[in-house]
Amino acid sequence: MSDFTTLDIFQNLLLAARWTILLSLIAFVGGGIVAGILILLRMTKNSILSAFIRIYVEIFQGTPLLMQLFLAFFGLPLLGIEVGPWTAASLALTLFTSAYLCEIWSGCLNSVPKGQWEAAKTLGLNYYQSMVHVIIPQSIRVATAPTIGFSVQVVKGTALASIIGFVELTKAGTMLNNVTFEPFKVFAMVAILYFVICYPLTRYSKYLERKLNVSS
Amino acid sequence: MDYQLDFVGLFPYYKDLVSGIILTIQITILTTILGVSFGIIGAATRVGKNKFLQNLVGGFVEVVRNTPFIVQLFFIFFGLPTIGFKLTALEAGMIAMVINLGAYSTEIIRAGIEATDKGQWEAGKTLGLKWYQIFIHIILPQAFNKISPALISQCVIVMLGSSVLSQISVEELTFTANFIQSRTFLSFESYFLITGIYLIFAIVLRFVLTVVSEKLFKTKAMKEGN
Amino acid sequence: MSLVSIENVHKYYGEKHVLKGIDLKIKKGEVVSIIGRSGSGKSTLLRCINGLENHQKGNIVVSNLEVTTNDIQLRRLSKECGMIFQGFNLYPHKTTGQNVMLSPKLVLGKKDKECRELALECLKKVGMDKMFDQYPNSLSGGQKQRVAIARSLAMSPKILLCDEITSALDPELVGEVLKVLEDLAKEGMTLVLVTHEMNFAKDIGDRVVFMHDGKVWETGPSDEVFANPQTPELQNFLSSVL
Ligand SMILES: Nc1ncnc2c1ncn2[C@@H]1O[C@H](COP(=O)(O)OP(=O)(O)OP(=O)(O)O)[C@@H](O)[C@H]1O
Ligand SMILES: [Mg+2]
Repeated sequence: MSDFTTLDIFQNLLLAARWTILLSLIAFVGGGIVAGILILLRMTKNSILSAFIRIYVEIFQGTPLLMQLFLAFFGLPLLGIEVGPWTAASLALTLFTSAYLCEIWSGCLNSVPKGQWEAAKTLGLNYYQSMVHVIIPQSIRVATAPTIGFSVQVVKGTALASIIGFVELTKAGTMLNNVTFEPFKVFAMVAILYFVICYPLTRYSKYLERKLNVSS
Repeated sequence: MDYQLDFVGLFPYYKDLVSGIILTIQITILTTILGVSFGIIGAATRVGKNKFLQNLVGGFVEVVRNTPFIVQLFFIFFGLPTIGFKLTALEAGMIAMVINLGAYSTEIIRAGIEATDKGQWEAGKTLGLKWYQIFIHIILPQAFNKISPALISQCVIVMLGSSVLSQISVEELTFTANFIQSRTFLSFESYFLITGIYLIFAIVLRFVLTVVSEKLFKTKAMKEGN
Repeated sequence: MSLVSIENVHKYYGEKHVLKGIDLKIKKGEVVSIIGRSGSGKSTLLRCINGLENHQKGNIVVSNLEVTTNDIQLRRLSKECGMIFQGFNLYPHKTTGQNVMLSPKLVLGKKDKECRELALECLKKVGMDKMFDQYPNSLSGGQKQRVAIARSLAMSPKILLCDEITSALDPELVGEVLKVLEDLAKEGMTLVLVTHEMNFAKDIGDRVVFMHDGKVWETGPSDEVFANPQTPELQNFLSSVL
């Protein structure tokens, strides 16, 4: 067979997992920032902006992430921007993440009961003051659980970056498979590492959700 | 920018495109039906009386939901044959798709069941119905009525995930895109076109499933009275 | 020979001792009202009679069927013993008619046509046959409760258990439901009612059971019990509700 022991495989996968985590963080933070900007734009109540945001969300939720990665990878060079797998993957995953976060967060903002708006208004707060002091703080409480829940989808999404040549956990897995010819073992170990990253997030999100349900 | 987009160059490959479209549609229909069916069975097990099955299904669902689809696919397609399960690429792809939708819909449907009033179980019991009769005739329709938007979104997400099957050479839509771009070198145009087709698929699938679920579960009839 | 026979029944929720040795016999055709303070175990007793809750000690026999934890036995029991809930528990996705027809069809194996006739007959009894194709959401509380009664009647039970079935209703809708109960009582249906409607208990009920602290504290013919309560607990209770 090969010179790779199980421990070697594991060590290599573990090293590659760093890039999975880093890419996830970039996508999540970047996506959060873009989603925040989209939400701010939506708050202007400009109907053209709102329509744009709706279409933006619809497009990123209605097309495969893999296609988004390909388009970033092959499309940006056409604009004269040379990109490697890093840039393309970061960009595509950021936009992908932002669309979902924008939707999740909008939902949370809308879930604040109407009475809260009215109460704020009767207390003399204007739209932005109501938003900042009354609506957003309440929404954040509601939004934390689904946001963390979605971070699992981001981590899993980074696996597709392997297809455009980004060497992260999944790519490392295919490379190791090509030299060890032990796909069962290698991909099982890859899966376990993803599980170790994702499952705590899933549990934490469920815990927060339960806590919120109990308190409300 | 001196690059001119050339969509006309894709035209000679329309036959490949059509066969890719057809395969993706077939995969989607089969996955949706089987996946949701497994979800119903999974959810029934999750709320059922057998603790062992409950935990078994619960564990399986968590494994599927916390690992990437592409890794599951590689594990099934490359890994399982080494322990004696020979699968074609399409079979492996279908199994991965169905397992995925099955796991997610198990969780979604279970949540719907738990959100259904416990009094409904009791009413059914005092009226002499068996557990499975209560589940099928009383609880499930109400659960579906509550969760159909979430379930439909999940079906769309899993459909979009089928593009990953191209990585094990299932000749579906994304595979076609890869093929066309390798022949024409019109990568952006190929992927742009195919992305548009996926977008249409997503919209149509969502629409069809919404209509079906309203037909099946009387979503409207129940709302009218309120 | 009594239709319901309850002997020394004890029920615990975990550590909590909720029924502390209940003895009660109910004859065929009797109308029994169970009264008592909140938490005294009225609902629990009712739910033990049809096996929705399991008791830990003692015996309950309904129409010669012992109440056990066995599903098959409980399904047999459900044909003898109907239950009406405070919250109606109608199937919201089924029309009035479908609500009534489901069990005759699935449990008794009746043909569609038979089920329909049966449903119409039962709905007519409660004055709801005109609403055959309405969904529960479009009905008032009183109408919903009457449909729930019809749904139980379709299984031709020997006894109906009613747990505060008018408590969720607007005051003006209580009468129409009590009227249905009164008709049933006149036809000879055995009724066990947990109720706060003292006047109804007095007028229609043959017997009153006052529960206190998980026990049958005092029981007797309605007029006597209301006119002449023996224990200070019942005297207190009556003076607080009347
Ligand atoms: N599922 C349960 N788990 C634990 N304790 C319970 C449960 N159901 C009832 N209890 C407790 O058992 C006791 C009796 O409850 P029960 O519902 O029988 O009272 P009740 O007489 O019907 O009161 P009410 O008039 O409020 O309906 C109460 O102390 C209640 O808190
Ligand atoms: Mg009660």
